[in-house]
Amino acid sequence: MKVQAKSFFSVLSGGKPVVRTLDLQEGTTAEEAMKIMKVDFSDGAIILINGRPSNEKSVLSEGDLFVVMPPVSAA
Amino acid sequence: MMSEIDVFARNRAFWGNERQELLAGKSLFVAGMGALGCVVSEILVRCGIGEIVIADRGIVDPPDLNRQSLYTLNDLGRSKVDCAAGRLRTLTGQTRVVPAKVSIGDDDIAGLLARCDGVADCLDNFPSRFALEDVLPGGTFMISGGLLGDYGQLTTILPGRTARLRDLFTRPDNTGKVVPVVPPIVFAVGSFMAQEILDSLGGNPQLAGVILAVGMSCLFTERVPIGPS
Repeated sequence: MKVQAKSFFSVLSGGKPVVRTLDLQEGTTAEEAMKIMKVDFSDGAIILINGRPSNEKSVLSEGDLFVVMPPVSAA
Repeated sequence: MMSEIDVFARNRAFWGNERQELLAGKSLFVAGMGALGCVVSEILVRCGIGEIVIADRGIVDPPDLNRQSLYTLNDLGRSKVDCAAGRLRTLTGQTRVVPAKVSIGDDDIAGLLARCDGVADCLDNFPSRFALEDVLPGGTFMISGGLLGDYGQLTTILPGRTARLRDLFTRPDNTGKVVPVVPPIVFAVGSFMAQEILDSLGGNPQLAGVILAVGMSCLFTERVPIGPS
């Protein structure tokens, strides 16, 4: 299945958000997809699937828009 | 003291008397007087808000001075809210500044929140942000901003109408970590937060159900829509 993925983690190293199409097996979770995208989510992540707040165990589906953002909290 | 009409003449010239008078009747609760709290407070005072409650139990430390714009070397070791209140009161003389030495999550802030029209979440850790969100009165908006390095994010929480911070940050465990933050992103995100507060006080928030991502390295901004949980 194909999923449109966008990661904002790249901005933490000076880049722009990265957009790519992932070709995944049915049943792939958000956590597995982030590993494929080489996202370091050791401190967690904001995970949005079609805009819906989700978590690492959420399962992706064909045609989903999958957005991950770093959980920034400093001030 | 300089007259109110002289102080805000340039504001009135842009947004008119009605908006200026609306602001004079509003009250804002600023949770956390670190980098974002300083910028948000200063802008809202210069805009002419009637009252600002500034909440923080901390003192000014040397590492704060790279980005916490209301403090100077002379303030080291002093209460942040006392220093900030003194500075804010001298900017225009038109805002009632209420310092509150409280710890969000530990102290009862219900009375302070009840008097305010909106909340600026300028805290530096997720447990405190969640605790603040939990006691947010119905009908009160909360603008929440966070930083890391030269990147920042902000969003507007409307209780019962938008996703909660708890829905977005499912595994927040960075309390206690020292994180890098550089000055340009502080002023950028603080300015966006202040604008969103102005818009929300006028009943027209732009970031309810939206995360605004701001990156300084590539000078980018992007709106990311958030649906219901």
